[in-house]
Amino acid sequence: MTASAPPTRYGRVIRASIDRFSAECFARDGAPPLGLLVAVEDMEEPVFAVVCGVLTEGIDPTRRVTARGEPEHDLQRVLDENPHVPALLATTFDAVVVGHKRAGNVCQYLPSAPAPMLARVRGCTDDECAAFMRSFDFLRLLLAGGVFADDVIASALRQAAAAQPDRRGFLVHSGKALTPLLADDATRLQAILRRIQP
Amino acid sequence: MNGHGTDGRPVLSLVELDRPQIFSSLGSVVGGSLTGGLEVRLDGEVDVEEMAAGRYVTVEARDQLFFGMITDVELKTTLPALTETPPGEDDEFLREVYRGTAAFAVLHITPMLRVSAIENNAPEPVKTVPGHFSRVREATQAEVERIFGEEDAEHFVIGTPLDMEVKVRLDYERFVERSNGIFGKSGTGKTFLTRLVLLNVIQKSNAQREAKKKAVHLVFDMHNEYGWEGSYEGAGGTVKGLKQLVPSSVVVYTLDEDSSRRRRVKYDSAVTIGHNEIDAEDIALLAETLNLTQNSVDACHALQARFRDGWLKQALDLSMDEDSDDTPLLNQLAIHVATVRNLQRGLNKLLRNKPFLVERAPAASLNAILGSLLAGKSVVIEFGRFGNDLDSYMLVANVLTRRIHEKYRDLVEKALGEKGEKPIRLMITIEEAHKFLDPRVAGQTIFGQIAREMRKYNVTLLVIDQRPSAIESEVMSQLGTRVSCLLDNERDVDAVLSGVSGKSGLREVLARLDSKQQALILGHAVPMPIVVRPETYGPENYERWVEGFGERSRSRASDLYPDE
Repeated sequence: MTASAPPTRYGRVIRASIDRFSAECFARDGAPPLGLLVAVEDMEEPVFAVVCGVLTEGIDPTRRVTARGEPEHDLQRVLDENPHVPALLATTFDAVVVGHKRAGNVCQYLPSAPAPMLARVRGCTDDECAAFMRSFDFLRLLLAGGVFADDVIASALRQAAAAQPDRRGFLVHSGKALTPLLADDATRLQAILRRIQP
Repeated sequence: MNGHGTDGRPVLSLVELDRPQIFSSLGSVVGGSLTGGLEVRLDGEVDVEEMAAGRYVTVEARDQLFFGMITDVELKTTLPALTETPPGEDDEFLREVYRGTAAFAVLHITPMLRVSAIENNAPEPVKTVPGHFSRVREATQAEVERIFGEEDAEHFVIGTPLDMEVKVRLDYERFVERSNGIFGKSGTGKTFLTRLVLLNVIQKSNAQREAKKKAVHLVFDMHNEYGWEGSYEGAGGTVKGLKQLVPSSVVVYTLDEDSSRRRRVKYDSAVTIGHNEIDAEDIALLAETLNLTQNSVDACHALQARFRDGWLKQALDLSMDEDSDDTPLLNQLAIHVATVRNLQRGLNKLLRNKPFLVERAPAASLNAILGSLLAGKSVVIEFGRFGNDLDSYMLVANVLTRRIHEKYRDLVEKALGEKGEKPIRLMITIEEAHKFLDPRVAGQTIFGQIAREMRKYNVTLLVIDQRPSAIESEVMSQLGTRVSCLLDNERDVDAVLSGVSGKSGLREVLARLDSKQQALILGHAVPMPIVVRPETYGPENYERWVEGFGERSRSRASDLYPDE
């Protein structure tokens, strides 16, 4: 890792299955962006995942957050009048596991065990991103990643492209990788391609 | 796979070490059959527009290389929806993504030859297909060169393949041992090709040491294109004929001395044909053009049986009166007066205004021609203005060929009996060949006979035609090597390709030749069908051809140019 700036740490794993995990953010407003490639630390070799959802809610499931303030009060005023509310909130994010490192190599398939509980989750470095995006086999895992999979894929590819020297070439290449995966669903393919169109 | 010897395997000699190692890879074999040809999925990065039917490719199978020709290019898609809603004009990104993935091209390849990648064997015809996913690349120049042989005493250059700088060569020996055909619509370059073939055969024949390998031409030169000089659309308007390039091997005879003199053509002798040399069979061939009834043709045969070689004169002298001195004769031969009328009208039409037809010709003409041929000289018979008259052309060609063939038959049989030398091989060139080889007349004419009996009597044909479909199919099937310029009539294309494996693919190639200077060659004298740009027959190559012929002929050639 030769990163100029250390990668941002976003949270800790609080729920983990073999194909996805949830992590609670260190800061309530410190959630990673949708589609970001993240790595689970505190393991010998990291597990890679793509952020596929963010949720902010009350800490106590028995006490719902209620809508305070009058209709003409803006957000800032409501927060000023209810300073305790943010302290009652927590933000979690979900991530779809898209691969892991094994003997130093990036493997774009599921690891043999889920991410450890309470392990830290950080954003990937540019080098890790570049190494990971050399192959697009992970797209198959993402495609099965839930209702918003299309948007997740599109944002993941857009973010990865931004770090590439040939942004357009990267997007074309990824589109080509996506095409056979969606050979039976041209509408969906077209929808994703339109989202990543430079 | 290319066997460059690093693992101790013998180096594949087809792939020379000193040539560039960058092959342009095209794609992988994904399906197909031996009879239907291979399907090759084009790689995404290869531009389909760069492909061309008729181009050669090499398929690298596990232990052997296959050579084949691109016969078709097909666009396919894996997403049916794309055919209904293709990316719009400004959707360059989508187009780029789909290109080579959802939308791709398939090459159809007809495999033709294979060669072992391990042993250094000669290429052999394919009997199987390369396995799935064998890599396909453009054939390299070295490979094509190897397949079509080096230029030596046995091979002559006919042209260059499309997009390559190598030479394609015909096997002289195989070319002259069978009848051959040159086809193409009018204006596609048949005449130039023919001139090239004639000249090269003469040169290669001269280069042969053994007498039995030599060959001579007898050219019935309808439009005066081959003997002294030929017409040319480019600068100068004329090109040198055979006589100017290889003077010591060619004798030019003319039927029309006036025309030859007017055109300032050097000819060696004039040809005359006596009425006594014309057979009933010759007249039968012309029945259609002379408007003769079948009865008239029968009458010719009857008259000939009775009067031998004086029959034509008798036929012309027959009285048409109902009750004349000839009536008993006509009754005896069962010839009706109306038939006599029809016959005489036809014969008079044939004999009118033809100074080369004389009542009794000295046998000298025929003997001189035969003498020249047997002495190893090719003979070109110029028709002068009579070339435009099909009757004359067919009559003369038929009469002379029949006589010469008879003589050849005698000589060959004699040679067989006495275990002597057969006469020199003779290749007879006829134009408008379908007139002689039409299914209705091919059974009767000497040309049909020559084509069918093949090389038995050392006489073969070089047929030149623009309507091969009108030639009897049995004759077509006997043609060893076929050279075809563009043909667009489907039946003609079928006729040229009859009896050829991989026909459906070649049909596309043939129908898509450029209208000029491209020809498909297939058959006996080439290892596999190939599309070539024929050698230029023009001033830039004269020197080379004359040079190949030795100092002596060069000096004689220059003697023949009083103007220069």
